[in-house]
Parts: sequence; C-alpha cells; structure tokens
Amino acid sequence: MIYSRFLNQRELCAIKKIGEVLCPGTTNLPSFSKTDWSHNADTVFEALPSDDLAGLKILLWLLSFLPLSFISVFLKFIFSGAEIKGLLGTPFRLIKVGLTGLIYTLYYSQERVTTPWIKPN
Amino acid sequence: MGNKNFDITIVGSGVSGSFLAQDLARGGMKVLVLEAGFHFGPKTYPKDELTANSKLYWGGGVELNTTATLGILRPKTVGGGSVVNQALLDRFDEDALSSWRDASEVSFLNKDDLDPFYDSALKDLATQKIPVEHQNGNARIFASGFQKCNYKLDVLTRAQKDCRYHEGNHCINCLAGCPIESKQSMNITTLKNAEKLGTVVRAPFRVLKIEEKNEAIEIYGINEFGGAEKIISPQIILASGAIGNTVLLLNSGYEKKLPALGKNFYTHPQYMMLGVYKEKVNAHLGPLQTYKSNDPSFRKKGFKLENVFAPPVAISMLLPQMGKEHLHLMEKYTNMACIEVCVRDTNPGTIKATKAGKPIIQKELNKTDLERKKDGIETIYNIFHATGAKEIIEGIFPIGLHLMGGCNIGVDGSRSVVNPDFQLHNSRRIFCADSSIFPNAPGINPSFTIMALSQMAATKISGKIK
Repeated sequence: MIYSRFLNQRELCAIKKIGEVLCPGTTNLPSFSKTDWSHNADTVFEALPSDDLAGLKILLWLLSFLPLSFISVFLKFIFSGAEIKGLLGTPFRLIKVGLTGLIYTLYYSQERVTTPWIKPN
Repeated sequence: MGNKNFDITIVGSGVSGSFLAQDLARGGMKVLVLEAGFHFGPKTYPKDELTANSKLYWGGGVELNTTATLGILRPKTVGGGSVVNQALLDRFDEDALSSWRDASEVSFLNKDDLDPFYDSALKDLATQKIPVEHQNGNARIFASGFQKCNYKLDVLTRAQKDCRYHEGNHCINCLAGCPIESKQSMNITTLKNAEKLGTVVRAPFRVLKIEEKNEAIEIYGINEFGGAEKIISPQIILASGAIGNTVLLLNSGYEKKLPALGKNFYTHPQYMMLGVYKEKVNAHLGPLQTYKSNDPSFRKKGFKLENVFAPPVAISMLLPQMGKEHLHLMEKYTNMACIEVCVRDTNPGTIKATKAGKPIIQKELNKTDLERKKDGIETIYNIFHATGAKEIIEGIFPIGLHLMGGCNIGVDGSRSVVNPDFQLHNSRRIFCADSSIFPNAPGINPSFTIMALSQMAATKISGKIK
C-alpha cells in the first residue's frame, strides 16, 4: 500500500496511471509502476505552493476515474493543446508542465532508473 | 530577538547578500542575515534531482510565467544562486555598461569605476579557467563546431578551487551544491567570512513585509520555528533577487510610492538544444561547462552560446515526445551533446504578486527577442551539422535563471526604484544592490557584476550610516 501525507489513495492511483502512460518502459528502462516512485514523493508535494498542490489534487482526483487508455488520449490532447500559442494554450501548458514535471521527477530521480546507463558515480 | 541588536539586516543570502554581509562586517557593523531557504553544506547537499529541485528552489523546483512558456528557476537556500550555479565569472563589456548608463543615467556604471570592485571580489574567491585538458565530449564538440564554422570562442572562468577531475568528480553533481568544496559558493566563502566576524544568519526565515518608521525598519516574517516574528532594525538591505525584492516591496505597499516597481524585468531566456551522436559524448562527466562563444557577430546579434548539460529530469523536460518515444530518446542520454542559446532580451517583463506573496510574472519575447533566439538556434544547427550530429532536438522548455530588474537603479524616481546610492527613492533606511537593480539585460552572466555592485554598495552604505 502506497502512503502519502498529502495525497489520498485515489490521487496516488492516478499518478501511477499517468506515469504508466508517460513512462511505459522499454527493454532498458523499467515502466513507471515497476519503480519505487512513491518513495520520495512527499518531498515534492511538501515543496509545492499550497494552491498548486490543491490544483494538482483536483486534477488527479478527476483523472483517477479514467481508464489507462483514456488517460493516454487525455495526455495526447494536452500535449497538442500546449502547442497553441498565447493565452488559449496556457491551461494546456500548465497541466503539461505540472504532470510531466511530477512524473519525470519521480521517475528519473531514482538511481534504479538511471544508474545502469548514466550515473557518473 | 534582533530588536536593535544589529546595525543592519540583510534579506537574502545569495551572492549580493553574502558579499554585503562580509564587507559590512569587516567594517565593524553588526549584521543580521535573513534567508527564506534552508542551510545546506558540502556534507548535506541533496543527492538526487528530486530533493535538489524541491529543497533548493522556490515553487518546488520551477515557477512559470503567466502564459506558461518560460520556466523560472529561483534558488532558495543559504548561499542562493551560488550554490546551484556554475560559478561563471564574466566582467561586463562597454556595450552592456553603456546601455545601463543610457537607461539609468547613473555615471559610475563604467569600466573604470567597476574594475576595482571586480578585482576586490576576486580576493575572496579562488578562480580557475576551466582546465581544457579535462574537457568532456560535449566541450570537444562545441570547440570543434566553432572551429569548423569559423566562430570565435573563449574558455570560461569559474569560481572554483580545484575540482580534481582526475579523481572522478563531475560538475553536474554540483548543480545541487558542490560536495567537494571546490565551487566557491557563498555559504563556504564570503558568508562564512561574515559569520566569523559576528554576522548572524537565520534560516529559514521568510520575510513577508517591511514597514519603514521614523526611527527604524520593522520586519515581519515567519521564523525558523514557523512562528510569526517582528524584527526591528535600523537599516535593511534587500538582497533576495529580482522577484524576491519586488514581491516583498509590493506586499509592503510600495507600489504607489515607486511607480517603476516590478517593471523592467529580464531573464536572459535560455534555450537548450540537443545533438544526438552515434558515439558516446558523456556530457554529464567532468566539467559541465568549458566554453562560451566570444564572437563579436553573436554579441551584435544579441545572443551567446555555451556548452552545457543537465541531469536526467531536466533533460527529460526538454523532449517533445511522450511514452516509449520519449524513453527511447532518453536512452541516448550519454550520446547527447548540448548547447544553449542565451538571448539578451529586450522586452521587459513585469512582476506582480498575489496577497499571499506568490509572484505573477508577465514575461514574453518580442519580435527582436524572437529574432535573436532564431539566430542563436540556427547557429547551433550549424555547429551540430558540422560535427556530425545524427539528430537535433530543439528543447521545448526555455528557462530564465538570470533574473534581473524589477527594482531598477536610476536617477529619475518616476522611472526607477533605487537611486545611485543604492537606496530606495524617498527612503532613508532601505537599500538594494543585487540583480534586481539591473536597468536592462546585459547579455552577459550577471554573477560577477552582482559581486562588484554589492561591494561598491557596501562602501556607500557604510559611509552613509556612519
């Protein structure tokens, strides 16, 4: 069971699903869910400004109801929307930076993911 | 604590705050430094990117402008930017200084007046030209590309003692603080000197508001124990950077008194480009940066190039793809070279703040800036093509980490915030000398000039107070 001081089980489950879409794994890299992604997650949430954390929790709660395939479609939609210039694209970019920043931080900060191929020492 | 026990209080412990604390303490003043971030040192610096981003920066790692097109990296730790930067030291040229004089009408912004303070700063820091014999694959590609394209470059000078590369040290690690005490971060150099002379550093202490009274400054903040605290100080120096100083003054009600407050904000937007090579580049090993462009045509066009790299999380944020496509590209991390174009931005941004003290940063590129960016990116394409890159990726996430302006210096109080005595217009007790006073973007790494200006300010401030 994953535990967090900041997110509930539903929200944590959403992170796992988003992580699977963004980092599904290759022959060399593990899939997001196979890593110890939750180990240090509270350090990230603790550092977020309170309104950012509140916004993230709402988004995760909503996404938690979607199956994996729908989350994939949602993220593709967000990635496309982020390309729109000006204010219209702003909410897409905010969501994109927020979610990719979170997932890539949880994923690539783990030595288990990076050690075999890039860690200098 | 602090009620009139100190002669002066400095808000912020980065490059400016630390040099000011050291110089004022050397002059016999009792100095209190308040820093919003935590105290780390060589033995306690974060060991991974997650902890580093979360613990060493505001906003949990990155803040965004209002259109989410620019990531703002704002350090938050004792030592400030000097803990997480690459400690590059560059003097400003006449182009930068004359544009400052034009914008500010401040006459001492010239080479002759600043040089003694640049020299003086070097007495407190060890410096080295990055040893070219230790250059990594990324630097070799940069140098080779410059040679093939007939561009001019120079070796970077860095505030470092001895990185002992032969022992397997890698400067990519010191983006989260240098664990071997080679990088001359303020927390192990000037601030340490200040502390030896009696300066007290309180961290984490977040200043929320200041009020200037006839007899003193009242400083309101949240202290180390999470409690509200008021400190009374005869004088205050704001040294928490462009965004920190501006937000503090806005939340202290200075917007009407200082019409230029929060305006003239610049960031030197930086765009990282990746070249993927067939052979290993290992850009993450050894010295992270070795060269900078030194081509007069680049300077004229308003951009500069440097060989840089970043740890995996930062590199991952540059890639446009998602899913397996993204991971396959990340698998080529050790085959990637990286060059960044740093734009000398001409379109000033604006800093505002929410009541809770969260910055609202309006900052976009205008036509000139976009042209400069385009010229820089085209130049990088030339370099990567000339050196045989198999694939070229334009990073999708530009960053601003040279945060300048918001409290610009100038003679005219209607168009500037700080006067030539480094004092807020119409204030007797509030001073400022860090990058927030920059009148515009110099297009040169600002750190060394912040040191020089802060030393000059220390001389003026101590003269005024005495």
